[in-house]
Amino acid sequence: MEIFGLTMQDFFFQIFLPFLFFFLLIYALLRKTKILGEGTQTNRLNSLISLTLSALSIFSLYSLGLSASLPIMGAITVVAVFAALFLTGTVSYGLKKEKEYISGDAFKTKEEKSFGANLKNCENLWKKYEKTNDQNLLRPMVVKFDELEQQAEKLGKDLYRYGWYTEFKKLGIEVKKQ
Amino acid sequence: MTDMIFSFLLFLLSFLISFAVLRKLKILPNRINPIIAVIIAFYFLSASIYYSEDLMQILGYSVLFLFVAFAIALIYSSLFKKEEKEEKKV
Repeated sequence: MEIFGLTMQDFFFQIFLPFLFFFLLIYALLRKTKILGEGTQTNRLNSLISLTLSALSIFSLYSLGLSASLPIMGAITVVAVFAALFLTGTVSYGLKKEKEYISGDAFKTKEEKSFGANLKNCENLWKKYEKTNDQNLLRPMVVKFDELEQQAEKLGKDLYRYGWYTEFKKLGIEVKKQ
Repeated sequence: MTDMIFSFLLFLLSFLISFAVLRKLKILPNRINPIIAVIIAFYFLSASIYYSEDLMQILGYSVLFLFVAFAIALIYSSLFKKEEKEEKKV
């Protein structure tokens, strides 16, 4: 079956698909840049302009004899994107894992990791409180420290080896007394 | 036949662009805009007889350039966009 003197396959890959691609690309660019403004009528104008421009460009590409190279270029692009994603993904994953093995995080359980994160959080909160002496920080601090204590009890960790924790404990007793 | 299609498409494109620009700028009243756009499109059409082949070449290569630019943007975004998102989360 032939359309405009072209086989069905050639027509589909060299005319129809590039036309659709360029139409969508130009329409998206016109819509994103808002060169002709906004609104329903402008959207219609945008679509008409992109339709004629893509038809013209496909027509001129075909008459120049360049339309045959479009499917090849498309295939090269897709393969290049996949290769770039694959390489960066594997390299970044490998580096991340290597870092975890060096720091020892890779051998920790989920609970130990969450305990470590909570510990850092509590320490930061305490430092902030020490700096600002803001009384509003006390309530969230008590909640966070309670969580930390529960986690420490489960994992069998001693929290009193951290100076800031003992200081907080003293303060906690004072708060309760008040 | 191909020349006719090409010149019709050129006429349509120049009409649409000039109409849209006139509509956006609001220099003239709304009723006059399409008439002016048609006149500009006819001028463009009559002038395009002299440089239609050059125009065809420019259009063809500019579309190829657009395709290459799109491919580069795709590769660039697939490489660097993810990291930006992660930075935002932190």
